[in-house]
Amino acid sequence: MKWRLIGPEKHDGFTNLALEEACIESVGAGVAQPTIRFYEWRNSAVVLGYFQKIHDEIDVNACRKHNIDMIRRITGGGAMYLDTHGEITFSVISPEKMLPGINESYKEVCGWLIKGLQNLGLSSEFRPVNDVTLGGKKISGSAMTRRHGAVMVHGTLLYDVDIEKMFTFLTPSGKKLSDKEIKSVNDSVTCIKRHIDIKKHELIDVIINAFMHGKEYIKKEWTGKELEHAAELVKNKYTKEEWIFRR
Amino acid sequence: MKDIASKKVPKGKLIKVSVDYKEKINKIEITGDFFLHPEEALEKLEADLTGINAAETSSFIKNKIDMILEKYSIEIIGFTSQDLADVIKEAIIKGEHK
Repeated sequence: MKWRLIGPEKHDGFTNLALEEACIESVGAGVAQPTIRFYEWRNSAVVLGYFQKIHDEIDVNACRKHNIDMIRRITGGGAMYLDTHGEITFSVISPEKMLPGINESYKEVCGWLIKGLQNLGLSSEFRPVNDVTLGGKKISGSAMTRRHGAVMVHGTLLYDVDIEKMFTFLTPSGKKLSDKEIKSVNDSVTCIKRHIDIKKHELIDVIINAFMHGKEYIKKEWTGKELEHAAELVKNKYTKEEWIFRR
Repeated sequence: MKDIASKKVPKGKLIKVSVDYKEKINKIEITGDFFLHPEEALEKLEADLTGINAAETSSFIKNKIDMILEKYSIEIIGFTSQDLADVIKEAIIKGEHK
């Protein structure tokens, strides 16, 4: 089946996640092609996993003060801080039969990312359940949902990370991390800029090529219906306090 | 009584449980960075765990969790039913000792 490639594109975080949800439904219903999408964040945001308690993970006051969007996604996993220029984000949305099995799907999609990094001379590894590591440190994390007959794996690749800034807004265990704890996180994650000097748009091109390698695809845009559905989801779900603060 | 317990599963995810109980579990909330498919079924798991006698063993709770997982075809990733049962039991024991 021919894939649809969307992006790279840039939206606010609410729209970014709403577009994914709209796409899952259209792909699941068979009215849109399986889709690989690359996107960035117009505003910096913290994104919570579906099952996380907001006050355990995020300094809500700090986010409000610094105008950081607080967003809850429909997939599990951990909270992330997504900077306007620090990360590359991707999603792969296909009928379930194209990506069967949860662990297998993570391995498959992470494998495309690993190939891309390999093309840059970086030797990374898949670390189950949902991470890619470089030199033993996390450089990418993914999450998945399977619904409406479709599967979505979405994830981030750290391009240029500022750990101290990240933990101004993230408060794992409901508290501010100490300098020692921040150093420990700093020692367990890495980003592309720590390894090679590459412009972000060049990196995105390399990763897109690795994801699309060997696939028949066409570069397209969202359908009118998907855009309409996403706008409705932004308005009635993603920006609503009862969704964001549901746990 | 209400208490909270959590566990970072080795090579797995964090699960945190808040249990409100008297003789029986009245309300339970499970949060963390784990994966559970389908996601919306977490509320069903939480609802079906209410009513369990607070004095039940961790092994009884594990069996109950397994039954609920099967009933709703829930797949959990990053923790096991035993991990969850242990954390629920730990929250209840902590509450009793306060």
